Amino acid sequence: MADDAELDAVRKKLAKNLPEIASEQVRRSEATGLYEVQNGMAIGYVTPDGRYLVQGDLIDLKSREVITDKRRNQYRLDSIARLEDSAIEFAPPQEKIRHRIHVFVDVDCEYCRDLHQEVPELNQAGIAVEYLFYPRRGENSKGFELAELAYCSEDHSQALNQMLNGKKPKGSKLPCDSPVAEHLATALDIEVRGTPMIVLADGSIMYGYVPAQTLIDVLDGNTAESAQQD
Amino acid sequence: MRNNLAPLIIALGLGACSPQMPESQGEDAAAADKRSQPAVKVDLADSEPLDADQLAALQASIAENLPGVAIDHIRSTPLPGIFEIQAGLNFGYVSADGRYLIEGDLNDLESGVALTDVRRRGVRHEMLESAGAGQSITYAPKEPAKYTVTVFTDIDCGYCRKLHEHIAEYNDEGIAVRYLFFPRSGPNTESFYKAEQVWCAADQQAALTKAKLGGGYSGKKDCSNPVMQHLQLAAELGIRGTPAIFLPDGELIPGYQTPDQLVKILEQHQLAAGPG
Repeated sequence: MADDAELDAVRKKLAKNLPEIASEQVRRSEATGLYEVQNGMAIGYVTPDGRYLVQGDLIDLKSREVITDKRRNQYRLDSIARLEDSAIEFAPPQEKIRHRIHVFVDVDCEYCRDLHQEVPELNQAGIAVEYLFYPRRGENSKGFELAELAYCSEDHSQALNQMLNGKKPKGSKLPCDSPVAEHLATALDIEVRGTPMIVLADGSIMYGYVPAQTLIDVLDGNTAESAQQD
Repeated sequence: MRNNLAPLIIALGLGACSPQMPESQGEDAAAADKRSQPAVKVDLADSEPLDADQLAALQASIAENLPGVAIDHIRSTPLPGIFEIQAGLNFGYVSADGRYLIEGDLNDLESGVALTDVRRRGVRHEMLESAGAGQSITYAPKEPAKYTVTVFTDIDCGYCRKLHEHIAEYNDEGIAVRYLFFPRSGPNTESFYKAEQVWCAADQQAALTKAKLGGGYSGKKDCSNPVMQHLQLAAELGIRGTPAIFLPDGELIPGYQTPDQLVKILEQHQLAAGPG
């Protein structure tokens, strides 16, 4: 109960000192005895009196784990969940799906096209790919327009597939209602820094073109890296 | 991206489309250079409930958990049970058992003071001071200077030349300009040799002005000179371009500033620093 009183006191103090932090985003950090505060991807640690803040990542040096990343992973997943209905999916039949990944792409990005070439192989291996858009040059870019084009056709997947293969989507015409601006805003909020960016089921990320087999190994936990963890 | 105490930063994959160039991480090299310095300075508050054994355990734990990072300072902080560690210009905050590290900057929310940044500026200031008098080429006003700025310069840099065109005006504003050399192309290059030649001249001020504005200066470069030390200092300070202007409090202003602009910046800083 003493802990609860302290938590309340920190929250009150922070409402004044860090008004951008919602009070439910103030939590006790067991490892440090400090309080963790979060505003989207920005995370910091404050003293119980609410006066001092260290903004940065908390790392467990023994396990080499970035504890703060867990929070970011969760924030990423929550943010992506809100875009779920407008993701463009390339998936094997429902009963064959073993893993699901989300990929932020820019249609106007070479490596995204490379990755897309291997989507059939990923589907074959039971991996569903959900595309979200991060036109990295912003609202008035070619990538933004191409992303909108995907939504301006009857069959979004087909149109996107054509474009990621360097073709013009047939029967697709601007303007139309599209969620691309919302995708872009989300991408910026969760600090996507390049494309493709792959989001795994736990919210962790991989950047860049990743060969299908590597991705399959990572998802199946067959990598040297995951073998070292217990 | 300044704090590289733990090599855990997620870098962009090579095969990724980036909205901008990934930032380079120049400070790792500086940290590596410091590896040979063994002594760790310790500043603990009297109230710190940490005895000699606990301190030794903390140091051992840091050494084990952050191999290859030469810690040169451990300090008390206003965070209960948390200690500041410093490696050059990099700072972090560790738990008393040395297991947890917060890699980031400490701020006082009540006074609004960025405490780590104040510390970092202090370290920069010390580094610049120890590079020191007699190791720079200074253009000072006739009256005692109100401010002294340290400017890293490259003889082959357009904006450095532009700055130097106004050198008398900076002086008229009461600003002494203390030049150190940062030939961006590195050692054993034309720009590096030009800096050495200027240093070796009998009249360094005249030679530097001639090199920058008078169509070039040539002379001997075989005297003992600090150009290499300047270059190393620039690397340790994380400077990426020239001119790089350091204010008296150690704050870095990258790039050219007109005399008017620089005076304004200096006045603002003096105000911010407050009396005393």
